[in-house]
Amino acid sequence: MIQTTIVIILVILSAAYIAVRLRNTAKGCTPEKCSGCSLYDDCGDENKKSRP
Amino acid sequence: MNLSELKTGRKALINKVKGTGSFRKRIMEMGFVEGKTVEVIKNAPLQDPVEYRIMGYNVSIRKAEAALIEVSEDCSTQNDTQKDNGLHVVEPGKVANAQRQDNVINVALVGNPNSGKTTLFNYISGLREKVGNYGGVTVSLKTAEVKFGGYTIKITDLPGTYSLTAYSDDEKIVHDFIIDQVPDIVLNVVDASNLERNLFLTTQLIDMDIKVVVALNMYDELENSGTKFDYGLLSKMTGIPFVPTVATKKTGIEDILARIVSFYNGEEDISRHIHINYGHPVEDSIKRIREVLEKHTDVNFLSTISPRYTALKLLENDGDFNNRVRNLSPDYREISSVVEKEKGIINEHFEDETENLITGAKYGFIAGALKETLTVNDSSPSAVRTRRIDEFATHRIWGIPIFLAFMWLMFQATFTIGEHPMNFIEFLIDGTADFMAGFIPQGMLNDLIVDGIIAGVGGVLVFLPNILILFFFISFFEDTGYMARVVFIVDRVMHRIGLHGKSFIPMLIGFGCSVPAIMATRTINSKKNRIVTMLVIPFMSCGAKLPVYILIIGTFFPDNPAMMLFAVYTIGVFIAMLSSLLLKKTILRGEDAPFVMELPPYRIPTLKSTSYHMWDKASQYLKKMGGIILAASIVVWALGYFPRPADEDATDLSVLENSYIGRIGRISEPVFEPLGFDWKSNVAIVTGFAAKEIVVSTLSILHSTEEGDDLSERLINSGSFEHNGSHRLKSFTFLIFILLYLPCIATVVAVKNESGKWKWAIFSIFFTTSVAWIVSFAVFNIGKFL
Ligand SMILES: Nc1nc2c(ncn2[C@@H]2O[C@H](COP(=O)(O)OP(=O)(O)OP(=O)(O)O)[C@@H](O)[C@H]2O)c(=O)[nH]1
Ligand SMILES: [Mg+2]
Repeated sequence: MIQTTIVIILVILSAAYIAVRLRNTAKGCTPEKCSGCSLYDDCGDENKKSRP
Repeated sequence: MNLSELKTGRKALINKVKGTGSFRKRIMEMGFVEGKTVEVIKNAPLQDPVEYRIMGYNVSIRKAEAALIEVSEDCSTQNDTQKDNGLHVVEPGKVANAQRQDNVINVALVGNPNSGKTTLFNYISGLREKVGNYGGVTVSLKTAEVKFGGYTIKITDLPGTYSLTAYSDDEKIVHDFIIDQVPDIVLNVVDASNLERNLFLTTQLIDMDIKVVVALNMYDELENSGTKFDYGLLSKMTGIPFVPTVATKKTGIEDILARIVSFYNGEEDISRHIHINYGHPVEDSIKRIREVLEKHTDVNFLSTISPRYTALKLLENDGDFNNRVRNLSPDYREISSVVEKEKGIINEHFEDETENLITGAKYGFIAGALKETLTVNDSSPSAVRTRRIDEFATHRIWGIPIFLAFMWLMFQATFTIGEHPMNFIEFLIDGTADFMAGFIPQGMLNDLIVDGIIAGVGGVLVFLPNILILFFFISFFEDTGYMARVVFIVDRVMHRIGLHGKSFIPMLIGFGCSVPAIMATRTINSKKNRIVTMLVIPFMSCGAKLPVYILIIGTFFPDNPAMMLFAVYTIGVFIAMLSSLLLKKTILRGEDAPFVMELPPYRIPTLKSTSYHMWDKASQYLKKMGGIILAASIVVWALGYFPRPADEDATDLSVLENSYIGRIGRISEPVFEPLGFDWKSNVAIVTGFAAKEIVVSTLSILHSTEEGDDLSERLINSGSFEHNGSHRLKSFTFLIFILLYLPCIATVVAVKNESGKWKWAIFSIFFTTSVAWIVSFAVFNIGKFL
């Protein structure tokens, strides 16, 4: 029973994650904004990072 | 005679550049002006283009365009004969941008391509933007903030440009940024080993009346070459602070920041504003146009852009400036009539177009300024080394075989060197799976972790070493300067298919990832060629497809895997070329753009930068594994696990076939039936739209219940790819389909953003998939009879 609950939660979370990622990509959240990740799109807000 | 007739190894003086429009302007801006010496270095292996040396740098131009440059072979004086027109301070400093009161300084990095802007930016900001030894690496702007001396410096890295006249989209970004954002200070990054041409851009910045600090970057190369340069004197003459820097060794950076702050505060003693004197009657014309501009134009427009610069730009026929003035001034007609009249006066006086006169005068100014400050040594060790390497790399006969050998070596290494760490990772993953299987009680969660997550993510994770090796080779091409040579070698072929040699750079970048490759097309100045290049980039195998290839090839073609991998990549390139030929002949027919490309000296990448690069790639790969691949594996597993059968004794296979995913697979069967794929392959193909690695995850999950020690054995035992007792035909067809079919969603979006239209993004999906289907169909059906 516990196993089933955990599995269902994980599956829902994963599906939601994919949906959000696809939506972000479609909205143009492409590597343009973080060219460090040119290979694998992931849009962190790294622009603000400054030199220590 | 013209330049294309000049024999290899000979030098000549330039008399005149014929031709029209942007080609003529660009080539003059790059230093092909009257009185300069040009030397023929060599022809490309396929005869065209030709490499020339001018102003101490190497550039390649096609013969057709070289024929427009008139030269005279005068052996007595093999030195530049251009006269300098001296320095003249016409007017004391009035710098356009208003002093802002806050503590934020906006700094823009502006300079020629490949002068080291991004290297400098990376060090100042602590970011890791892409750097490479060829022009056109950076194609978008990027801003970072740093604190220095009580100020916040907002520094923006921009694409490289030879002049402020924009011909391609990346250059337009620079131009628009300077005009519209009005940075407080322009940090002009100059390649000190190639001063003469680099200072051309500086003269345009001087015309603009903005605050400029010059970073004399690559100062190490200048010193090593034995060239002597009195930058202090030049600094005094021009009123611009010149600071030597070596961005790769991080020297001079603090100095630059300090000078920026003191310049901003008006504390620079040498700071003084000069004007380049264009002589009579140009100066009079400028004056008259300024008067009419000041009388009419919107005041705000002129407070950010200097009226002198505007006047010059109007005289130079700059389309962009014409539009700006037209939009802002209700009395455009009066202004334009004055401009036309002045142009007439100048043309009559010199019998040449104003824009060429201005370019010539700028180079005259530079020649004058450098005559007193610079003693060049043209046989520097770096130039000699570059010549030596190029004797092989662009050799008439060996150039192409060497390139192919490099490619072959890349695939061979990807396979053979990758194998050992791959086995090790596989061993770790198997261990984890066994441990988890025993640790978590039997049940749904156990199934998810072992058959879903570990099979799905682990199935792709094992390819990390191969991916890194591939990227190592690509970054080697980019960082050494070989990339530009490849373009030099293949331009002739690209020209035949209606594209430009420069299109080959995005295509090679596409071996890594299509998204940056599509952005890299910004350097292509013909709009139609740019779209064609974008549309064919997905045919270049990106790094995400590599796991699929290695899995399938390693399983079904174990005898000669590297050759097979090479063949798949080559088929991709071949199809890309055929497609562009097709597109150029049909819907995207269009003009042919001239080819002018700089060949930078070879540079040796440092171990540190290479290892950083590899580390970056590895961490991105792991991030992707922990993100989209993990999520997709869970979802694919769930779709194959549910609904649970009522019958407890149902076999694994029948459960899978009746699951949601089994149903999806069967719905898609009619589409893939003619290609010979079974439903599991169909599902894998469909899931690949999110990211291509998911094809492997899906295959791994869907075959996880088969007999066998590893995925390869399971694939063989499942019979998924069997046809008449052999697995080769179907698996090869599958490879071809994966190679060619629709790009991943990130690529589709990139096509939309870069082309500006959804139309092309959607077209790209249909085009690639149709090509994939047709080619795979042909392969499968022809293969049946072989
Ligand atoms: N020897 C030497 N090499 C340098 C220096 N600065 C940068 N480089 C090298 O020059 C090449 C170009 O550097 P980038 O920073 O990509 O140049 P960029 O101006 O950003 O180029 P684009 O973005 O294409 O306009 C790289 O191979 C750098 O490693 C320097 O001070 N000395
Ligand atoms: Mg750059």
